[in-house]
Amino acid sequence: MSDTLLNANPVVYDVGLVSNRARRPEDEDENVADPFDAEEIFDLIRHINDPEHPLTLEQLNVTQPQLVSVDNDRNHVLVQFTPTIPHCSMATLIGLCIRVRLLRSLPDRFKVDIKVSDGSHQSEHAVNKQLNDKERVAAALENSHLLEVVNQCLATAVER
Amino acid sequence: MLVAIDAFLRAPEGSPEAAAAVSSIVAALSKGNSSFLSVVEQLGPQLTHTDPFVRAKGVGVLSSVLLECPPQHIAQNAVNVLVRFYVDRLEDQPSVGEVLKGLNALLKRELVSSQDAELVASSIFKHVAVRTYQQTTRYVAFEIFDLLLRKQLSAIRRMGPSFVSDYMQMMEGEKDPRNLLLAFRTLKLIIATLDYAKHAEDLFGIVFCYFPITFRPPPDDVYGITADDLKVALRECISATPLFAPYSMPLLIEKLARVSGSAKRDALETLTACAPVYGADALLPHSEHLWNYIKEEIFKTADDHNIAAAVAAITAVTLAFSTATVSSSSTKSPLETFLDLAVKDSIHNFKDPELKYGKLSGKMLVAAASACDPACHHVVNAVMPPLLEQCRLRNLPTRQKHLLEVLVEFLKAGQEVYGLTSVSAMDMDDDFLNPILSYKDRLFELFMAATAASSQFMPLRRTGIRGLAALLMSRQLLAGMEVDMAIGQLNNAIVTDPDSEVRQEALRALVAYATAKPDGVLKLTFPAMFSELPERAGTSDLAHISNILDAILALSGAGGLHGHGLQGLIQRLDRVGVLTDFVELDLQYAEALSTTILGILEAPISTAPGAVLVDNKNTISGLAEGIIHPVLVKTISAALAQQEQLLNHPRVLCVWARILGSVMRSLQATHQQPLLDGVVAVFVNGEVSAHLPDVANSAGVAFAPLEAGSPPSQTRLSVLFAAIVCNCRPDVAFPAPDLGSFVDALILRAVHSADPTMAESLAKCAASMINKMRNDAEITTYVQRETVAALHAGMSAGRREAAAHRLQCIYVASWIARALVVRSHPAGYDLSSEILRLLNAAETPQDAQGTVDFACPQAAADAVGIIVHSPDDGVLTRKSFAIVRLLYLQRFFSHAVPFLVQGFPTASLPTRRAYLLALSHLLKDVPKTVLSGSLPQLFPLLLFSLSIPDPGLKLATLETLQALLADCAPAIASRVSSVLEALLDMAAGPATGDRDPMAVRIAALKVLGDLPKKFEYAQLFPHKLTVLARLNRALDDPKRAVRKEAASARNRWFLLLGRA
Repeated sequence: MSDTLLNANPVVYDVGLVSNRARRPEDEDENVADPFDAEEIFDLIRHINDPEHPLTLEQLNVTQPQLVSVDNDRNHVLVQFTPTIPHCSMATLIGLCIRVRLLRSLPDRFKVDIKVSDGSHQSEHAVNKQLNDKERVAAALENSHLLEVVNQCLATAVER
Repeated sequence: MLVAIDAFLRAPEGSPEAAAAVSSIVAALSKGNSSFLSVVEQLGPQLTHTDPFVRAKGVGVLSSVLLECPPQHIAQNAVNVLVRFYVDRLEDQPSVGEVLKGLNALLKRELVSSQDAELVASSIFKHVAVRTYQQTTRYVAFEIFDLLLRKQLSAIRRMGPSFVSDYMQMMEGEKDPRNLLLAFRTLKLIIATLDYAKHAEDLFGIVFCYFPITFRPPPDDVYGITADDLKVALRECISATPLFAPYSMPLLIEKLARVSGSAKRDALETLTACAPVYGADALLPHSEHLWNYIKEEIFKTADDHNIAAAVAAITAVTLAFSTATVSSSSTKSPLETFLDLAVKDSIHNFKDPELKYGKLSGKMLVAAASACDPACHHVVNAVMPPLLEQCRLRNLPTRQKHLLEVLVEFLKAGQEVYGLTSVSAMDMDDDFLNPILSYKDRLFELFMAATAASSQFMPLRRTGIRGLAALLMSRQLLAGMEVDMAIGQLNNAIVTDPDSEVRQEALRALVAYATAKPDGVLKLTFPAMFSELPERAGTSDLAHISNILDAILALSGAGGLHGHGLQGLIQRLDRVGVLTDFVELDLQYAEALSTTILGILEAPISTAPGAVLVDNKNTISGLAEGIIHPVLVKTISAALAQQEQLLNHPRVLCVWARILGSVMRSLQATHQQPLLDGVVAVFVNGEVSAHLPDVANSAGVAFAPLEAGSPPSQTRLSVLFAAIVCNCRPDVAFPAPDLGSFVDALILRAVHSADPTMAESLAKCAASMINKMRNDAEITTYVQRETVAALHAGMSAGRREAAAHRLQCIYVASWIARALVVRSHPAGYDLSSEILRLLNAAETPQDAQGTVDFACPQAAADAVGIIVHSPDDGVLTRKSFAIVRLLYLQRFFSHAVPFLVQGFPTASLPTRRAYLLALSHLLKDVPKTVLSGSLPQLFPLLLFSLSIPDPGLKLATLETLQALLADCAPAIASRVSSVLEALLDMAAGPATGDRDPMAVRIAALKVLGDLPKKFEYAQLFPHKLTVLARLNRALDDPKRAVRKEAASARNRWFLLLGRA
């Protein structure tokens, strides 16, 4: 890691340890299908570690449940995230981590769009383009060093 | 002798022939047939041979014999000669390896005189360039010096400082981890025992050049030396003496500045180890650098371990500074200088407490404050006022919460230095006053306000509770009224707080406090809790009641509150129990009350050292009288009056049977005897009024709960009878003239009973009594009686109309079999063989039409479960004083496996289910390590049970698989591919109707997710792609709970990677 962190002193938010999903009786019912919802997607990505700090994306408020939306009928998922500072060069890496986590955890019928939330990053357009370009994502994952970093960030999310 | 020597010389080194030759020589020496010197004489030609390798081999004979030979057979004169000989041979290069081995053997046996020891050391230094030899030889050399320092210290001391320099020369450039580990140990000894002052700098150089250790064990490492072993050994050397300080401090500082990651952690840990040894004077010039580099690490690192190491370093450095003497030249002490730096650097971070730095700054200052009394005073007095000011200014709950968190940490630091409430005044020095005392009022106010229900922000309330807990647990802080107020607030939180995390936190706080000081909790908390328990459940919220009951259960485990918790609950149950017009909610309430009573009785009691006990375990025998008699009176009265009271409901009675059993177990034999006598008189002979005069029996009904013809209101009380009888100690005599016929009667009644509860109680009683018979002979005589023969006959009875009777016989026989099997009595195996044979439907009798009765194999499978499972109520286990032989499960397992393995392949499909069920019972209880031996035979059965559509069986098998994975994964390794196939079929099966139920899918996915943790990459990678592809389908499962497990399993398989 470089000598100076990009955002050395971020705000740390309080988060619960467990999913805040309320239990419903039909959760146990075999015949009722549960459609995908924003909270389920959020549960998948909230525990991803930030590349810079021993803190999760949720603790840094990078991911928020209200920034996730799912359309089951059109098989579409949109995840937006907010970098802690507008010039964060880690934004693409964070986005890549979210992308990989969802690639591994969602059925392939979904088209997943990952974006930085509006106005939260200087080069918003470039980051969005990079994150949603299939070829570039695939190329990034060919890079074994980068993949190792991504896997490290995901390790905490997997064990939850 | 000559033959043996010759054999050794011709055998290749390290071969079994050589070892055999050596042991035959040693045997000859031990018998006194030959002396050591004669061995040397006979070796003469080899030892003086012109070929150097023949000479080396000759020396090898000697050294090997020395290593093996018991010391008393080596004469002192021989030792002297040998030492001289060996020392001479040090110049003979090819023999050096063997020579050193011989010297090592002599030194190990402590046979070498002090003069000789000196000679050995100096000659090795003089003649042997240790560095030029192979690793094993060098290792022996290091071992020799280690031994010399341990056992021949005076000889080494005579050699003076030159020993140190010679040793350093020998060690220089050593790279092998095995040797280094030994050398570091020796160096520590040298520093501790020899005069090395002149060589301090060189010595330091030779040690510090290894820092930081970057060793990584090779993949096929067999020596098991880890980088951590080396790090610790090296650290002990570096921190061995203050003389190293001038050389080491600048280098350590430099390392702290330069390195990162685990090397930095190593540097920090080394600093922590060195600080107390080097002392304040060495650290003082670097205090600013030290603080800055430590702080930088805490702020920057992404690794929690590094933060912990850095925090520990702060504490160690602060402590080192506090021991410094104040020099006259400076107005501030070194401690003050350091702490001022720390405070000045951190305090501004509290202005934005929700930022990452705020929390970490608090952590650092707390670490400094927890070092010692002066540090605590300095830091607390410097930081508390501005922190409290911040709290006043910022009313935003999120900010407030972060500030309070820091304050809680300071309270904990105070606890470290000034002790906990639980520590008795005798052990603590009251000369030191906790500096927080001056700020206590304000803190108390803050925490009380934070816990108040008005604050909507849950984390703030939680932190407030933590604060109150920390205040309560700190010595010297709270007094009288404040304690009561704090407890009151915690009570309030338990009773009213909507958030379960806050309630748990408050309960934990109270339990901790109750363990130290039970009085306050008894006075305030118990009344508050019991007033929340209604007279009857009615419409009240059962979840709330169960929270309160959990709280009472937890608090009763602390200190001496045991009896008070019990008493309160029993009183409450007395009110609830007499209800006759109860509904389901009341029933659940009564059950919950009873279960809590049982929980209190069975929970271990924890006490803090020095805490005053309100009551103690001894009163439990008093409680026994207070529990057993009243409940018998109440239940029998109700049964005789034919009243359907709540207390007499079978579900409540079932819990009460457990309670009686638990009380019974805590009694000594002398107390058990009268109880048993009374209970037998009442239940068997119906002498109610004689033994329980309080029983109301206005109608004059006869009490005969063990008779099949009695009304169910009476027979259901048989569980209470069983609880008393089954939990007697073996030396309690059963009050019956002829034990055998009494047991016969029990068995007969059990077999003919229509009420399953009664059958179970009676069978358990009979089994327990058989198990506790005095000796095996008595049992053997008993099992030859007609009743047992009738059981055997009943199990194999051929008439179809007797099917129900047969099932009943199997059930009773299984309990008797368990009684005998746990005792490892042979009759138990006869009986269980009979049961195991019934697993096969072909063995079960058929009627004239040839139709097979499948209920019988099913019952036999259940019977296997009864034999191997330890029942929940503890009957026929050690807990209830049954006679249980060691390894009975293993023995039964190997008895049963052949039946399963042979019977299974020929069994018809429906019968196979019984086999698999029996297997799943067996597998649940047998230690998995025992299982691994029979796994090859049983695996086909396991796989088969994963392929038939029976969810219960699948779940049981998956559970077994998971347990197998946890305990002995290698046993599964060779079958991974077939297991994977079966698991994937279940986890990601067809989307149509015949999909497995979700519980099975979840369990299968859990096992799938466990696999990558348990196996090497090499074993699993051939399947990786298939698994990932098939799990893709499970990701789209209709049920969310399944998808969650699928995502987790699939991600784990993605992270399954080869060595980078």
